[in-house]
Amino acid sequence: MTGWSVALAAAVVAGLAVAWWHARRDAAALRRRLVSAAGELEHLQAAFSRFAPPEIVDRIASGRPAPAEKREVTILFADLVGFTTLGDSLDAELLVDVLNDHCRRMSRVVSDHRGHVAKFIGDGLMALFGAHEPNPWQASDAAHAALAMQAAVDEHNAALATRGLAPLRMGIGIHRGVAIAGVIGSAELQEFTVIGTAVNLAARVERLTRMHGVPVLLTAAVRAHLDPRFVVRELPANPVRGMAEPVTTFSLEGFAA
Amino acid sequence: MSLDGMATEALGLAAVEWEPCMLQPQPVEAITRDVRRAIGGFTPGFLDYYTPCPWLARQFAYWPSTNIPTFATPPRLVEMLSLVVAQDNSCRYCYAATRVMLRALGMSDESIRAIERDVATSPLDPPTRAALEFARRLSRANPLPGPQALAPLRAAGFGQDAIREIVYLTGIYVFANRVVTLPAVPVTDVERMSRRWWLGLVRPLAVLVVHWAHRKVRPTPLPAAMREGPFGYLVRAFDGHPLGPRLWTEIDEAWRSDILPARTKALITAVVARALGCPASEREARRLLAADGDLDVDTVLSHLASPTLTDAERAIVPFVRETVHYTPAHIQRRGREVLQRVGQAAFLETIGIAALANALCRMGAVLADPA
Repeated sequence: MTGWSVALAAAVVAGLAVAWWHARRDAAALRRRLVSAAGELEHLQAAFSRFAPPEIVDRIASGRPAPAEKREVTILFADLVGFTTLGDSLDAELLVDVLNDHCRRMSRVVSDHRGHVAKFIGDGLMALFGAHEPNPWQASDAAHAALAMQAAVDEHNAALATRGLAPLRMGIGIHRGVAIAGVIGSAELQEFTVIGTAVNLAARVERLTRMHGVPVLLTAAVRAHLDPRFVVRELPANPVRGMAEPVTTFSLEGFAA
Repeated sequence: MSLDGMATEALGLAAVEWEPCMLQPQPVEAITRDVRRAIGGFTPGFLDYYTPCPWLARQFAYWPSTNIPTFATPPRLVEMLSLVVAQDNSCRYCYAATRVMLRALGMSDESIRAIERDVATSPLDPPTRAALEFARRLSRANPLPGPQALAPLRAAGFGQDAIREIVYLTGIYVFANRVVTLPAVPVTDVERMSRRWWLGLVRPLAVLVVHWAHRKVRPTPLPAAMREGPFGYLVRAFDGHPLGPRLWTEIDEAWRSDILPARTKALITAVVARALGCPASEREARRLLAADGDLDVDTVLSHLASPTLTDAERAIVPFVRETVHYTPAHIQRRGREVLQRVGQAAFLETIGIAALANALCRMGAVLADPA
C-alpha cells in the first residue's frame, strides 16, 4: 500500500512537473514571439514614419481612420529628361540600377533639406516640404533641395561617365499652395499624399523646364517666400492647362551665400 | 539575450541612430557639490558634460521626477508621461532612464510595452490615457495645440493643479530630451541599467522615496518678485503651485547667464516660436528683443539669416529651427558643426535655451494667454 502510494504520488508529481515545465516553455516561446512581433511592428511604424506624419502612422497602426486636412505645402516635382529614350538603348538590369541609384541620391538630398519624397513616378518623383510638420521656411528648403538635387545629378553623371554611360538631365518644378493631405488608396494599397490644384500646377511647372531650357523653375508663390539670397530670373508667362491665366515662372540659378 | 533584453531591442529605440558624444566631460567641484546636496547625495553620470554652462548643468540634474514638485499627479503617471515624451522624441537616454523608474515603481514590461506600442489602444484607465495622449500631442506640436487641448483632461477628471502639472511635466521632458539628444550624451550605461534584474528588488525603496517626495509638496503662492521677467505670463499661470517658483528660477538662471548675449537668447526663442507656430511666444521674444535696434528681426525670422547677425548667430539661428522636429542622428551631426564654430560653452547654452524655448512655447500655447 505505502509503496504503491509513494510510487503513484511520485508519478503524479513528476507528471505535474513535466506539464509545468512544458507550459512554462510554451509561455516563454509565446512571449518571445509576441516580443518579436511587437518589435517588427515598432520597426515598421518607425520605417513608415518616413512616409507619413507620426499621427497618421499611429492611427493606421491602431486601425483608426486617419483624417484628411488642408495644409500649406511646397511641392517639388522632378523628372529625368529623355530617360525613356535612354532606356531603349540600355539593358533592363542596368537601366534599373541607374534609376535606383538616382532615386537613392535624390531621396537623401530631399530629406537632408527637411522634405519627404511622397512618391516615385517612373523616372520622376514628387517631394513635399511642410506636409509632415509645419515649416515656415518650406519654400527656401525646397529651393535649396532643388539646387542640391541638380548637384547630386552632376555627381551621379561623373560616376556614370566612368562606366561609359550617357549623362542624366533633370527638370524640377516647384510650387507652394494649399493642398489636401491625407491617406489615399484602397485597403490593399494606401499612401499619405497631397492632392489639389497646387499639386497639378507644380507638375506642370516641371514640364515647362523643357520649354524654357532651364533646370529648375518655381512659381511666384514660391518666389514670394524665398530667401533673397537665391538668384532667380523671371521668365515670360506661359499658358498652363487647368489655369485661367498664364503662369509666370522663375528660373532658379543659384544661391549667393 | 534575456527576454527583457529582447524587449528593449524590440522597442526600436535601441535601433535609433545615435552619434558619438561631441562633448568632453569637465568635472567642476562646486557644481558637483551643489547638485549632490540638492538631489540627495548622488551625482548624475551626465553632469560633467554640462559644466561649461553651469545653469544648464544644475537644472538638468534636477530633472528626475523625484525632484519635480508635483502633488496632484500620481507618481506612476509622472513617469509614464516621461516615457511617452521620450519615445516621441526618440531620446534613448531619457527613455531608458524612465524605464528604470517605471520598473522600480512596479510596472511590468508588458504594460510598458503596451503604452509604447499605442497609447490609444493600451489597457489604461481613461484619465491616464487622456493624459498620455495630451502629452504626446503637445510634444509633437504637429500642429501646436491650443488651450482647447486641455478639454479632454478636464473631462477625464483632472483638476487645475493636475492639469498644470501635466503641462509642466510634458514641457520639462521636451526640454530634457533635447538637452540629452542634441550633444549625443552616451546612452550605453543607462540602457544597460534598464535591463538589470535587481531593479525589482529596489521597488519598495523607490516607491517609498517617490511617494515621500510627492507628499511633501504643498501649494505655494508665487512671490511678487517672480511675477515679472521673461515669460512672466506663463510663470503667472502657475501661481499657487510650487512649479511656479521653479519655472521662474529656470528661466531666470538661463537668462542671467552671460555665455550668450541676451539678444541671441531672445532670437533663439523667437526662431523656435516661429517654427512651432506660436504667436504668443514670438511676441514675447520680440518684446525681449525690442531694446536691440540694430537687429532686423523680421528678416531673420523670414529667412533665418540677416547681415545684422553676428558670426555666432549665423551658425546658431539656422540650427535652432531644427530643434523643434528632428531625428537624433541628423540633429547631432548638425550640432557638431555648430559646436565647432561657437565652442563648447556657447554650444551648450544654445541647446539649453533652444530646449527651454521648446518647452516654454508648448506650455504657453495651452496654458497661458498673455493678452
